[in-house]
Amino acid sequence: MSTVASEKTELKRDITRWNRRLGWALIVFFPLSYATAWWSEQTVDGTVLNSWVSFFNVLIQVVATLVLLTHAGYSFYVFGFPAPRWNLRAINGYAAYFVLLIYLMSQASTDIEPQHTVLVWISFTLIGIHVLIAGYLAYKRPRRETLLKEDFRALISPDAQTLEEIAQSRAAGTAPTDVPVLEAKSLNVDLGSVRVLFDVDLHVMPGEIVALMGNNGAGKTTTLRTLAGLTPTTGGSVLLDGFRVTNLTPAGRAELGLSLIIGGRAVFGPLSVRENLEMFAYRLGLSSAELESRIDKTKEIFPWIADRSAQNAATLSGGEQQMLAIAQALVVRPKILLIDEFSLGLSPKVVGELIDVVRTICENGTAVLLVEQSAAVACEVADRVYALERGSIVLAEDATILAADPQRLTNLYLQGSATQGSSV
Amino acid sequence: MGLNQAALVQGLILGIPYGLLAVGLVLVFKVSKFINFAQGAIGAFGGAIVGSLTVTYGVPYWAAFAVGVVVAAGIAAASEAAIIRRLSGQPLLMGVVITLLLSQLLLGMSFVVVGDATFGAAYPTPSPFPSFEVGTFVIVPSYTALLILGPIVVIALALVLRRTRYGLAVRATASNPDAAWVAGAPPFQIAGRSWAIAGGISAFSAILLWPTQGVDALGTLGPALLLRGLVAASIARFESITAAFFAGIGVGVVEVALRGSGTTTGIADLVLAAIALIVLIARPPKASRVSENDGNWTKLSLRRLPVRYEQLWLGRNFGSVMGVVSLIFMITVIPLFFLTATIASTLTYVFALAIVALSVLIITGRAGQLSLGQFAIAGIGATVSVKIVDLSGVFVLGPIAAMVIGGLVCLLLGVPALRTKGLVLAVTTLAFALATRSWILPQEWALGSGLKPARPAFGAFEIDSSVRYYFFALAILTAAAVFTSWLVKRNWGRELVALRDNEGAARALGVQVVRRRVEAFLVAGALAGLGGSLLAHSRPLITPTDFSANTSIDVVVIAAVGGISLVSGPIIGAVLVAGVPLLAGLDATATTGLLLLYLVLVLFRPSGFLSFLVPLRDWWLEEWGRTRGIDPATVKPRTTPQKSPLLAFMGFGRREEAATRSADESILEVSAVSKSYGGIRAVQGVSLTVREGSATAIIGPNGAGKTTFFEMISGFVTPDEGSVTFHGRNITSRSPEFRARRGIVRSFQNALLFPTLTVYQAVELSHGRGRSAELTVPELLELAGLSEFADTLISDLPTGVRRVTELTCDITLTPELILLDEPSAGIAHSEIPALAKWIRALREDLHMTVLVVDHDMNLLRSVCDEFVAMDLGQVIARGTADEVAANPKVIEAFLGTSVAAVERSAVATVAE
Repeated sequence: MSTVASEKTELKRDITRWNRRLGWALIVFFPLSYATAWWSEQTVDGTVLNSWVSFFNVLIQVVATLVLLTHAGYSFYVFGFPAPRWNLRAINGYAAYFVLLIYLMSQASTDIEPQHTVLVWISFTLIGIHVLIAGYLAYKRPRRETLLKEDFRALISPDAQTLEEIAQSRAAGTAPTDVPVLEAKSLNVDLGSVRVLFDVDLHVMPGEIVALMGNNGAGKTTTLRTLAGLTPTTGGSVLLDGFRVTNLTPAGRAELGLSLIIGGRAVFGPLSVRENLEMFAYRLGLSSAELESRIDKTKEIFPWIADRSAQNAATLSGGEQQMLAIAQALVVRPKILLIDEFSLGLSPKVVGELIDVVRTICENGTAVLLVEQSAAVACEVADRVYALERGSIVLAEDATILAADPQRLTNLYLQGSATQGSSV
Repeated sequence: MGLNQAALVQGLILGIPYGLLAVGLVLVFKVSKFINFAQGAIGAFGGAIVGSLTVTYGVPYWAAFAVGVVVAAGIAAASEAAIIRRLSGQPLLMGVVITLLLSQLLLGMSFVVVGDATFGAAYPTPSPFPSFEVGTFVIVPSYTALLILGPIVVIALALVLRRTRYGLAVRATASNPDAAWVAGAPPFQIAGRSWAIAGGISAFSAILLWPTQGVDALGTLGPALLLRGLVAASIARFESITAAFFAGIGVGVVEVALRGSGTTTGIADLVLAAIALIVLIARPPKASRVSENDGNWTKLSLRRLPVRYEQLWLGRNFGSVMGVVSLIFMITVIPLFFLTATIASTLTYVFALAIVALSVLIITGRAGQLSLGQFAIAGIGATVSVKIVDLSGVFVLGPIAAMVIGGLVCLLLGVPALRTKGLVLAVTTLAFALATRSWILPQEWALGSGLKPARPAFGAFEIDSSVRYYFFALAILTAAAVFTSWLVKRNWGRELVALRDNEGAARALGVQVVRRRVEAFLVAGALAGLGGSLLAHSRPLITPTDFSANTSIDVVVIAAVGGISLVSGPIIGAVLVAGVPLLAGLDATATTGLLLLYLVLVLFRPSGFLSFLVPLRDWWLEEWGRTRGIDPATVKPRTTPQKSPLLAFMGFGRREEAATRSADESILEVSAVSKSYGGIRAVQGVSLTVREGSATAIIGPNGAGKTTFFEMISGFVTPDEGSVTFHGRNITSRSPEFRARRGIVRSFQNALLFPTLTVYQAVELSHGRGRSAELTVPELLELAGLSEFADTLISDLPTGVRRVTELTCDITLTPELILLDEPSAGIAHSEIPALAKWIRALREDLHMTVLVVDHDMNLLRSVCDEFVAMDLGQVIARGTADEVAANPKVIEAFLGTSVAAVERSAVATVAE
């Protein structure tokens, strides 16, 4: 079957499914419209109640008529004329649009008796037959889980189900052990219609510092955003502690211990330094005592935070903002901290301080994945290094091994490939 | 201007509801980066509930008050969930239309619900609050309540924002939604709560304001109130809650002062409109999503006619055939069975609205400018037309004058807003619509209290009956529709669409942005003026009330409901939105129900009612095609290539060497350009000479200044110092479109191009402005290997094909110098060699000079002979690829320096 024909069948199937729903809607709407019409006649004209009832009556009638027209129209489209095959479904379909025809005729002939009564009776009979056949067909159809319940649940709290399952698994002791704290498997990401990540595989073990290098536009920021849940994946999965979290929102992943420092906009500008730390710890819902004690600890490592607690974060220097952002790890204590644009635009002295902080954080139990432009800094701070080029991982190596062989990096940046030195 | 104490107090009190409305608008804007045009109406609905409960059902005042506030909060939160979340990815137009529709709907429902408590005296007042007098002004209980409770509400809100956890999350989401989400505060949750609070505040102020309003309570709670809130929020730049509140009070004082000066109330609207314009242009709100063209217009476009059907005459001319059929229907069937005098004048009104809606199609649908004032322009056109016909006695001059003046007014309105974005224009045009109705038109030199238009007369033939006028109106509508259709199908319309979809790319292809937009304003204004004139002469009397601001809003709704992508859309929309209620004799309740239906329609089908007719069209054509032997299987254009055009590229074939060109002549001289942003020097004194026929590569790490340098050559950034010369001519401050016409074109990193155009249309766009049109468009497509994609929408193309399309558009302009900005972005690894081949062919076959910025050394090495390496805004090396790659400074720039190395060298320096 050619693509066009199969697409058309797909379309017809969709329409049929919706048509059935419309049919059931009609079963509700039509009696309702008669009921409201009757009710509005019972209430006194000009009262508010009458206004309300008339309003709803009109609304329901309009909707019912439109639904009826659509229902009949769709049936006509699906079955065509004449029907290719005369089975129960086809008969039902014809019943649908003959009902419409006769109903309309009966409405048009309200003044002409006995035609009007006859037509009304015929249309009611046809409706009855149609509903019975439809009900029978529905009964015979294999049951399929309606998506409505799941959709509703997803609307209220999209992460609840997954988080619940993970918590249960942990409680039951069936959680995976000896797994990376963060892992990406065959990650494929599209931004619009452009594929930006192709089968990206990477992982971070507990207690590790991993660096992700690459040129501008290679996809480093996209990788971090996808790991955090800000960008949806087209294929592949993200795992935290061995659990699939690909369908979790960023807030849900924060629950599981993931924190992200966004490149270029890492802090909340209009908020004060202290409020920034408070906000970073938002999902923890800490008591003020606990929060205070954690912030005090942070002030020990960053004394300047104590001095400038009330200062707006936007007025801090670039280095101080980055430090403030990384300081959140001391308050939040995530399992894995993702840092974008680690040293961009910062002086070597500040970068040195940041490296010390990252090491401290790592010793305290937070694994770190950082994005770094400068290969030299990356090899200095990280245990392992990945290089991303044009959306694919082209290098995965221990930092010490790579640092001992600078030619490889030079090849990557200036020859065009990490492994080959030749040009096209 | 008498501003005595009483008036001052009155102004203060009046300003409090404005301030509260502004507070709500600012809160919503902070979290959703969106202006909720239904803010006032939500409050009004809450107020209506309170009135109904108290007066009709005897519920105690404060209980009803609570219910009203809660209901309004609920509706606001529901709107956020149902509407705003669905709008991500759609242009701002839809959000504005939907909130406007919602506002009309809620005001209509308020009217239904409020029952007996319709106006001032009938509406309940807050009991325990006293009333007292200041001079001549009586402060009634509800005013006292406003005076006391208003500031308390604002202070409470400010405290909540400053002190509570929730307030922290709101402020955090407002400044950095991604970081807030990652910290555990989902933006939609925060937004929903904020909208609810804003809705509650709005209801609070409506409930207290209502008892003091006159007979037309609901009228005053509509667009006029919204405007005042918008002006106050604009003064606060949509940033600070407290500033917005005080600005609102200021607006109230200004209004009372203007009222007291003895002129009509309308002048307040005019002054506020002026204030709004000045404030919004001078200090626009800072937000990322204020641009009207954020969001993809493809959602508003209809599915294109499948290409194979263009073989059929019916397929090619389907629109015209439908048009002719409907015209015949309107000329024969309608008059035979349905045409009474009333119906004729109703249909004339519908036709006039349709013409004004056509102007919306041009200005908003094609040019992408959100205008809410088109019907006000129609009003001005009507005035001009009536006056001119009166003065001259010649009928034809009336509509012509209306068109001219309408065009100029629209231009005047649009030009200051040309430099601002989206929502700003919507606010200013709304203000204009209000000011026109309340001040401009009631002036004695305009409509005054009413004018009697002359009947159309062409020589001896006079149109003296409604029925005859119906045919006249139909003829004018047909002419307008045919003209508009012709206009948008030509390159003119396509250039507007290109500007709308991607202004940068359009300008880089030579489209003159200012000129096209000015022309769009003129045409749209002319159409609006024509519609107004048509309406005016159909009536025995026209007054300012005929041109209310509400109708300006309705016209935009009409265009959206019908469908803004085809000319038939506004016409269908006019029939649906204006015609159906009038012809079916629906009362207010039923009309409101219909509005609800249209709201749902627009929400689910952004491309309008036309989207229901498209499957019908496709089905008919399929049946018809089948009888003509067209197999439906061959119908759909392919989107995924069998073989990528890049890989299939065979070269352009040797082209004639231009005799006058001498190799090695320098064609581009960049001389010591510098550019700083803030205090940061992005580019410092960089020079470059580009020789004819050469290929130069610019490389460098992130932040090196390559992009800024590139943009200075392409014309999108003007250098602070230094110059750019092309063939000896100084082009330093010239626009990109100027450069494109002189022979410099560029490609873009993201190759977005124009999502709503097909490949054929995009190349045709460039072809129309090519300096030498040696090849036709199909030949160009053939050359580039794009023939099978000719009728595919650019948004449906894979990246590689888009890149090829972009490059084809560029070479169609037959440039001398082509600037490539990261051409390898988004290209698969396997296709890089093919891309290199393409770029080499530009030099070898087409004799172009190439300048490339990229990271991919594979590509650059095989294309370019000269390399320039930049770092930190300066050039650090020049030469061949190997020379530059071996340069230690370059290596250091790319690999960076480790901290340890820096410390070592610092120690070493100290030790020396």
